[in-house]
Amino acid sequence: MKCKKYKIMISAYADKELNPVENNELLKHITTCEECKNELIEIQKIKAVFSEKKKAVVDDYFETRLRAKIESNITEKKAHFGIFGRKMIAGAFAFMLLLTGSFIQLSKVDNKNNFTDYEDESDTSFDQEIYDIYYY
Amino acid sequence: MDNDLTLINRFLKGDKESFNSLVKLHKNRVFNTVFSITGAGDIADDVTQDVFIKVYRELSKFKGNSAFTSWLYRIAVNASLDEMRKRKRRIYDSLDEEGAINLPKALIEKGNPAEGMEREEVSIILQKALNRLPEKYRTVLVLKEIDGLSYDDIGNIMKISVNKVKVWIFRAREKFRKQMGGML
Repeated sequence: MKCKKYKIMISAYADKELNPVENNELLKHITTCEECKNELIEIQKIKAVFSEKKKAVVDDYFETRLRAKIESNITEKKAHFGIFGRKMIAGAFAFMLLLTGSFIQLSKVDNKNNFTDYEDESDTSFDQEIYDIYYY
Repeated sequence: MDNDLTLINRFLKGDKESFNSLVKLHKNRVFNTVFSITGAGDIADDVTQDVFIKVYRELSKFKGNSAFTSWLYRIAVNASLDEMRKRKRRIYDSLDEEGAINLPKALIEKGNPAEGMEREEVSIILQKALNRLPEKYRTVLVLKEIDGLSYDDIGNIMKISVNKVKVWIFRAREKFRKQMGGML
């Protein structure tokens, strides 16, 4: 159980994210625990593999395509307003009402953590378990 | 970065060329992040374009309370996840059918030719392992290992606490190690 806590600390240690007190505590533990020493080696291997990953870069025409898309968006918007401008003004009140309703709905969505959607139950309980061990 | 803020202010005052400079500064970083999260070159190109279109439209809403890059990363991460959800499938499934990652060689940073092949193989294996992670773990790992962001920045981008970042990165590494099998 104790090593579970240290393993989270080792991961953070490898990222230089521990405070000095945690750092000392961990280093003291690592000198006496073979399992945690190996854990640190494993984390360092992962970091080494990522440092080898090639960087993907955009092609030479990326900016040209982007400029064209932005231009066409602006043109579309202008044309759209020309045709529907008067109707939009006439329907502004109704739209505002709709917008208010949508805003309330969207606020609910925005407040929701994006990353909870894909948590399966075992992940959630596992995270909570580790969280409890480490922080309480 | 001061440079970002200067460019943003100039753009908001009507200097369109400043936006092009912002794109030049950040396009590869954004593309690399989006690619690492979505796992496919063609999707990453479309998503990166969408990210910059959104930045163009909404730059006036950027308040400067956090770094521009954090704001940019947040848009990029959300756009990547939205795109994957829209497609309603895990991208790695199609990659496996083709037997290779959809990463055109032209898109890969040129390096030393002697080590090029080896690095390319490592990159493909690594990307496949990343693609198999649940998206929250993939995202934290990409932001940490590929973008080199601090836990604090990752927390701000993903809107989660630093403690949660710590635990998710630990968990992500465990899962990643499993996916890599004996290859580490």
